[in-house]
Amino acid sequence: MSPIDRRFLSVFDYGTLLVLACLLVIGVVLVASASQGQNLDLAQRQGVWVAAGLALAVVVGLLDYRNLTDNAYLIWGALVVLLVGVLLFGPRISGARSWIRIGGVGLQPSELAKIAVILALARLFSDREPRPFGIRDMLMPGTLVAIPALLIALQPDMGTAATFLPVLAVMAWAAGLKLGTFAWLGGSAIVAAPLWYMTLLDYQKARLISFLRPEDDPLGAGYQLVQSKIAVGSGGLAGKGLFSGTQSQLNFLPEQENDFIMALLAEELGFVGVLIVLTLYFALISRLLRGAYIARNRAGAFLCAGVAGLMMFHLVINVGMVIGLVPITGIPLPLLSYGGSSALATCLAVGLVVSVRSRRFVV
Amino acid sequence: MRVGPWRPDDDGRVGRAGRQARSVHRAPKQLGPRALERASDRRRVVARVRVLEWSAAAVIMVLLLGFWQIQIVRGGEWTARAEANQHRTSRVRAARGLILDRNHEILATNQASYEVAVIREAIGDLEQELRYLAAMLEIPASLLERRLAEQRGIPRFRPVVLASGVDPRIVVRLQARRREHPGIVVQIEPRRHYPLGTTAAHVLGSVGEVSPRQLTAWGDPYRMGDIVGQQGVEGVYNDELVGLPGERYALVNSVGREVTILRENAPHPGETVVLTLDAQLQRMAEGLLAGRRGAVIVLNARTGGILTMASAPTFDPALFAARFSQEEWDALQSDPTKPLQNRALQVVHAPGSIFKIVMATAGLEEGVIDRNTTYFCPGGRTFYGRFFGCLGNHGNVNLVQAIAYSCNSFFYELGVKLGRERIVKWAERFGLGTETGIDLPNEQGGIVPSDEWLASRGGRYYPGETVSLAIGQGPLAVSPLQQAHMAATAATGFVRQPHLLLEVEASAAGQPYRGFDYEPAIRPATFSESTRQLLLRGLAGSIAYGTSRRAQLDGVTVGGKTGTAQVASSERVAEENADRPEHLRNHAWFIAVAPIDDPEIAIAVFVEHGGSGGAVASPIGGQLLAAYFGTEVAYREITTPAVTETTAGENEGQR
Repeated sequence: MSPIDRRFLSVFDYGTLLVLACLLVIGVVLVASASQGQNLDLAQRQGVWVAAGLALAVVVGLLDYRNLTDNAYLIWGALVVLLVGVLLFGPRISGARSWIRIGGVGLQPSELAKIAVILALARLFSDREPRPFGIRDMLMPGTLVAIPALLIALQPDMGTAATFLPVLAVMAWAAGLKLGTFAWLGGSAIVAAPLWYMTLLDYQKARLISFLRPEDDPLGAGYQLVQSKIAVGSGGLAGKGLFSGTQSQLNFLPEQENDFIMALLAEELGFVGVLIVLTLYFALISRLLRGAYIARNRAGAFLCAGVAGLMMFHLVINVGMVIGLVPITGIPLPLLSYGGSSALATCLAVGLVVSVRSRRFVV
Repeated sequence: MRVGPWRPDDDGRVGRAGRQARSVHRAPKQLGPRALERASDRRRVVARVRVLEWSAAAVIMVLLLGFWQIQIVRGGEWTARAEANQHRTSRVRAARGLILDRNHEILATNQASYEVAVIREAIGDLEQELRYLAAMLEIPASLLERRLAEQRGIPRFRPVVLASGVDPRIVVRLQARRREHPGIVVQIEPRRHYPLGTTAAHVLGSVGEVSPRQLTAWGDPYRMGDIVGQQGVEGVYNDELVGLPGERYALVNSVGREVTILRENAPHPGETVVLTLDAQLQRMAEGLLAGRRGAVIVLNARTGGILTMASAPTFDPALFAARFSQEEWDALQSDPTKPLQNRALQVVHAPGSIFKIVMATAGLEEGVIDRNTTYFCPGGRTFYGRFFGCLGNHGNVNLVQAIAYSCNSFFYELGVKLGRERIVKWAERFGLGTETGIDLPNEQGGIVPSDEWLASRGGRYYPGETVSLAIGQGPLAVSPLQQAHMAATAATGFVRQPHLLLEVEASAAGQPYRGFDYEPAIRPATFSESTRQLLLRGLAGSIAYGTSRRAQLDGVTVGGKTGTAQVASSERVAEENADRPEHLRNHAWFIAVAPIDDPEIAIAVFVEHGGSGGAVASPIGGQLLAAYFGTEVAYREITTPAVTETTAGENEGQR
């Protein structure tokens, strides 16, 4: 471990941590509002998670990420073993085996697997010749992604499994995958979409269709989206006031503390609140990406791109679903949604970027 | 951003050897030939990440535009939907108005009734809870299941009523265990209550849920499930009684529970309908009819107000107010004694000798007879080749005696002289053959042999029918109400609209929401005062020494007339009335007016298949009159029944 001296502290990335803290605190407030409507007390627990997450981000930021990129394959292997273990021994909770208890603490290995895959990909892409590459060179990275993604899909947790693909795409792009190959892969994905649709389960198809035409069945599959849009739309410019949203406080908005916390924000704090939060997210993502500019080495740069890609994907899918731009999937909004595993994993990922940024290249 | 090369010692595989040399701020020691390549690689990575950054900015702009579109551009639309979501307007039922008698005794009111309901949303094991309820309510569980199935359409968070009118003692037991059974609730519903039980059931009628047909006919403000008047006064004065429902505007949560009541427009309770009925006399009349089939009318002769309208057998109107089972309904409907029928005005029969009032008036007014005209009664006469009998040999009788003794021979003669047309003309002037227009539904107008009636029958008419007509037989049918009305007209010289409504009062709790102006029609009758005096003398004679002696009173002079309407045809009359099967026995009639000098009330008594009017109907009338005037019946039963029973002269029929 590198020594923490005064000079290190002067280049330590406080900015990213500050943006992270802002979003986390806003999240706790929103969870408090959501739990008031449902007579639950989630805010306190979320507060504990958030404090732990921030501490984790600081600690990881202080550590040298190169210890992790050096051992990336080992970490990746450990996570794959853990994922197999969850599938074999994990308790079945609401139809899926995604949790495991280690030393009395519940843990979702899929959240950690995302970080392990980012680390492994950063290592893999940085090890190769720094030259543009084509489809042939995607075999190894593809395998690194496919194995954990499949294991998670088996839980089954399609939403989380799907996040690996954009992470791979973003990192491959940053590492120099040829533009032509990129376009070609994107094109095949569009062609494959109808085939993939046929493999979906009925409830998944219902979700997809309800996204396209929610008003067809406003009390059934489309209910969630319609209620979400009512919440967002009725928020207007300035919102109905914190703790005063009718859609949320009267409980018309399901999953308001979780996947639909953005709708609660939009209802209670209006467009202004949305603007502030999305600006904060952009600031965070921008800082994550710019970590690549100042990273000391290729592995650090790809690590930053991977974490930014993960964050971006979650943001787009979750926020897009709240306003009906993308289908409803069970993906929480990182940093704002209620839930410990997601908060800790996101903080861990951001902490890695903080570590990269704090060891920046100085001419 | 300024872009330099990757750290040379960090490039490529990082060996352990490089570790200790690592320091944050150390500048690159050297820029070798590979450094240029590293620098270009770095520039390439930075360029690509910059594309990612711009993409992120673009995507977030798209999201922001999405929010702008929903929140700002279409914000009003979604706000309206949010309000529609959370606001619910529900109706508050108005309390139904009271029905009172003329002395403000309560005939119909509202009473809290306990309903047991289940909220399916709050119940785990429905079957188990239904078994529990069945045991508590002492109803088979299958019945509860059926009622639940019938109301499947009700949302799961709303109570489904499974039992109503539940005994308060059961309610107490249910309430004691409500914590263990959170899905079972007891609700209090106002239910129509008739404190006097079956008293005046036919007049009061019944309430029930509004029918689909009524809903389409009436429109607002009625809604499915509203309780409205269906029969009798409840139905006729429903507009006054029903009140105006209020509205409650409440904030509801996603499962429809009211969180806060924002605004409430109180309902207007229904108005109080005061009837001309006298509940005490009504009870008395019903008591006198108990065990028989028939009807009693007591009319205020000076106003046309109905003091009593009894019909037997009767029914319990509370049955309709409760949830009526199909079996109970079928039983009432198919009962051969037709308890739902109001015999006072929905059943018509031949008037028998009561019709002699019409005949007498017609004879006098048409100038066929005068007060001194006498006919000889040899005990019957032959007309058109047939013998028409009279009960006694009355000898020479004038009009007053003919009425008092109910002499058939006199009226046969008179009838033949008058002819059908003139008889019908006077019958119609007394209101026979048409509805009286009383404020009750389904009144029967009856039959008089008018030209139209003849035409409808194909024009066949035998002269002998006029002879029958003269004594109130043949093609003639009147209701008890018409008989009472006729008696009142004869006694007072005025035709007064029979009616039940005395007045409509604002309910104690509110202002009347619409005015009500009730003025019963009244017009002078078309016969002379001398005719009226003669009629009254005849009726008084019937009481004093004629066929109506059983209605004699102490201290009050009564005028009356008996009638016996034949049911069986002439061939079968050979048997004594009492020996016939019941459905062939004669109907007994009696009308009376009192006091004779200035008639105050008119009554009509009808006993279906009761026998002779003098023996069966007049004693009932006597007791009613005695009760009304607070006196006693003066007539004492004479121990030689053979004479008194038959000299009554009631067997007017053709022999």
